[in-house]
Amino acid sequence: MSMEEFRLIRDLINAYCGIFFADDLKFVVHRRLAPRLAALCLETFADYHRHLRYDPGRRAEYEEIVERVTTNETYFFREAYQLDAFRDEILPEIAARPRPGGRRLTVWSAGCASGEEAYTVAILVLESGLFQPAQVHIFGNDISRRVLQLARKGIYGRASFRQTDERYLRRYFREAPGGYQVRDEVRAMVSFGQINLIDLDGVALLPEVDVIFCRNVLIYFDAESRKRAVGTFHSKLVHGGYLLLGHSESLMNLSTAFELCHLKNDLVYRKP
Amino acid sequence: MELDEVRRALQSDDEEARHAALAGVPADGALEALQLLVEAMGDESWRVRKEAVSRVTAWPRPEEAAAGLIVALGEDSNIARRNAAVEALGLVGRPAVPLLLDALQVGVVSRKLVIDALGVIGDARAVGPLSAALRDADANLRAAAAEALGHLGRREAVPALQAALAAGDLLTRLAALEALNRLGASVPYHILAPLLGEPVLRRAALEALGFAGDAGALPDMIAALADRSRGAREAAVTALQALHAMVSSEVSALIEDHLHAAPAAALDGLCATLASDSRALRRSAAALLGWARRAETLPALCQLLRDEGTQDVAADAMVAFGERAAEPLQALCPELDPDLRALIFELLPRLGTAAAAPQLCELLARATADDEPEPAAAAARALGLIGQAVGLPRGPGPVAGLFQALGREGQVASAAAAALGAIGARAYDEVHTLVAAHGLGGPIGPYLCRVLGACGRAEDRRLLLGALRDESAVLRRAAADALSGLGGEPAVTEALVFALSDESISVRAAAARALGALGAAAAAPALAAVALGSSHEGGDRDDEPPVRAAALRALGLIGDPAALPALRALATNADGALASIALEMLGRLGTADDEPVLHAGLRHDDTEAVKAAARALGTRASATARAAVCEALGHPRWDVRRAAAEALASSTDAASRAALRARLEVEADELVRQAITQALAQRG
Repeated sequence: MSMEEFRLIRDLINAYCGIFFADDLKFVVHRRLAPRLAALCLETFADYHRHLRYDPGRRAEYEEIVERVTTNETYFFREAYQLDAFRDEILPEIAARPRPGGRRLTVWSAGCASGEEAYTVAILVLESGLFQPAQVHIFGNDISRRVLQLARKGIYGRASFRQTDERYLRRYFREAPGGYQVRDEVRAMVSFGQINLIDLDGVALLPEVDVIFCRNVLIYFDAESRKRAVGTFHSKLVHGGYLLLGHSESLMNLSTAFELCHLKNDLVYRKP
Repeated sequence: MELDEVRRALQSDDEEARHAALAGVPADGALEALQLLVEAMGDESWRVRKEAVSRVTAWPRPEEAAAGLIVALGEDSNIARRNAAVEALGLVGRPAVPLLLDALQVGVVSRKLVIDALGVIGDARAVGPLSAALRDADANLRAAAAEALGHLGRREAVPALQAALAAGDLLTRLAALEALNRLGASVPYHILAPLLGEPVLRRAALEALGFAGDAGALPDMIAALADRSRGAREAAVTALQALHAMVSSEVSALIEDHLHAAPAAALDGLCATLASDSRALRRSAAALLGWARRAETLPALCQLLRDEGTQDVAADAMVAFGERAAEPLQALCPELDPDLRALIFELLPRLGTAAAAPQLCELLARATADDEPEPAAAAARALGLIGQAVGLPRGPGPVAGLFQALGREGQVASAAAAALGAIGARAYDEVHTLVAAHGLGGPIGPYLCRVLGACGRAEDRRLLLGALRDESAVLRRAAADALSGLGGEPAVTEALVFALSDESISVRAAAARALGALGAAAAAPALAAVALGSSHEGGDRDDEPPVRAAALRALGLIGDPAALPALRALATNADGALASIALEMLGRLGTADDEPVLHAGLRHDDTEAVKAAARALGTRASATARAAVCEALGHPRWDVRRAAAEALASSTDAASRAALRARLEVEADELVRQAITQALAQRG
């Protein structure tokens, strides 16, 4: 793969899903996509580029690329300090808001991968006792079909529980072939969908939400795609809604539309 | 919003109200409005401050904005505003420089902050005054001046910075060293050597050794790899890599020899750097270990293959070991997880003839049956590369193993087919015997077609022609693809032309491609009809884009001038796939009369068509053609500019040369710069 071919293919991937590969990851992209040449009976990456530009079946190939280039490592109760802030400060504040029709909660796990984060949020909401499960809707989206399938199945191996308190494991999971499965009462609160974060038509399918979790997702995007995604989050949040990013992420240079909220356990962003 | 209203809103307790008020500040350029914005730069909210900076830096008169900001530098009471003023001055840029230089002279506001702002702006006019500030009585000012000169990036500052290395205070000397490193300046070793003994300066002095270009510094640099301070060790790593890149090949070899002979503690230091948080450092350490070629470091390099940010460097480092790596890697393989095994298998062919050792090939042959597809496919590819390059050892193991692998899932079977095809080029009889015994039927038939396509001979055409009539579209397509590699004869051309009527799009496209590859002139009329699609009057025509595109390309490859009408008709097609191919082929076959069509191609909406037009015009001798390509050097897309530069490489006229040079002055994209530089060099 020449540098030119890498950049052309990278630009197409970036335009499709926002993910961006720095120049020094050419080797990685080459390795991950080289098998696609043989699978499509193509000779060169120049041919592959043309395939991605023009072939009527290119959409399927973009989905194949997503499966090959996205990194989906996650686990339950990741970044516990932030989840403490969510449980102890954000949930009570939302619960205290007067709303027609009573208390309800909508949360979006943006870039949910195999679902651990979305289910973690559901468990924390149940633990808080502040909302009736029927009034809670948690949406998880990802661009990869493979991980969404795992999320829907809700069965996880030991690695997903490395930070999970045993009492949660006993209370909210049951043993299943391959590990542990999320119990039905938790799964009933969570829906999954294949939505590309930079596709406005896809995102339009989501309702307005009270809280957005988007942790360690935007780091894979280029600056322009990050700005678009953050703009989308702003439009999807209710006034006073919260945006929670990964511990090494911030909105510096991306947006001034959110205010910084100093909670006891964490710094989060809020839509005024 | 009226200014009074804005002023009141900016006093509000509500952050959102203050933030919104900034949007209401009139953009008409009234000085009072500017003052309000500068005032808001000291707000307690970072959002308000950021928005205020944004408004100030967009002020219609930059010098006026700069004057207001410089006044803010003098405010001791509001540090946030002062810091925001430095940031804002950096954004205002060059218009602020004269006022800043005045302020530096006059000294009414903080000279240190003025220096910081000059460093951020990076204007060459600041070099002289900042160099003078290196001799200021105030040590903080001297250090700030050194730091700013480093940010300026101007080599005119090097002598003054080098002189500052002899300054009395450590702060200035450290700032000067770091600025020199930032500039990549070559400071003589005899000046740096005494600084190595000063703990505060050691790290920066080691880094500077990387730019000194002096092999005499090697013992100090190698010793520093075992330094107790991590900063010093890491600086030594960076410096050794920088030195290796800048010196002659003889000196590079000397560096490698020093590393090879380095004490164990130094290698331990390098291995420890493999765990650095910095990807750049991990890559540098891996490169050094490759130069050192010490077998005991192979396991650590192996683990580095897991890191995608360093995989390529780690692989190159292991390959640098050459044949010495073969046995240790073979021993490591059974203990490694599937992904790592796959990576090791992939680099084995790069180890030279040692990769063809019987034990290694047996390992790879067994690995083609690995439960995990990644190592199995990697092993197959490795066998193919080894077999092609140096030949496989005698014995049925590897070829039989690959044949078995054809029955596996997608990527393993594909890899095995490619490998057998590559091996068959050297060992045709062995491969052909297996293929002939099995026949092309069944699930592995398409893969066997691929094998024949890669290594087959004329006598294999009959088998493939039979497969072209099979009920399986997958097999028919594979047969068409394979026939393209076996040379033409009338029966083959006839069969492939007939396959242009196949019910499967992929078979029709493959047939078109094969006819082009075979140069089958007799197929040109049929291909032209397919290429033109339903736009061509009469009968049913193929409207599928991949088939039309393949037919169009085939016409160009055949080179029959009778194809020109079809090419001309499609060169202006709205479909970029068709237009780009037509333009490319017109570049090969067209006449001077086709130039207007090529010019029109430069204005196509599709950039692939534009690039094809630029390349095609590059082959034309006319001044108008060259001028059009020169204009494409200014296209918004980098790949179009690159194509234009490449197209101009063969032109000898002065105007093209001037255009290339002018573009090089302003071009920021590295790939385009490379193409322009190459084009200029090629022209002489």
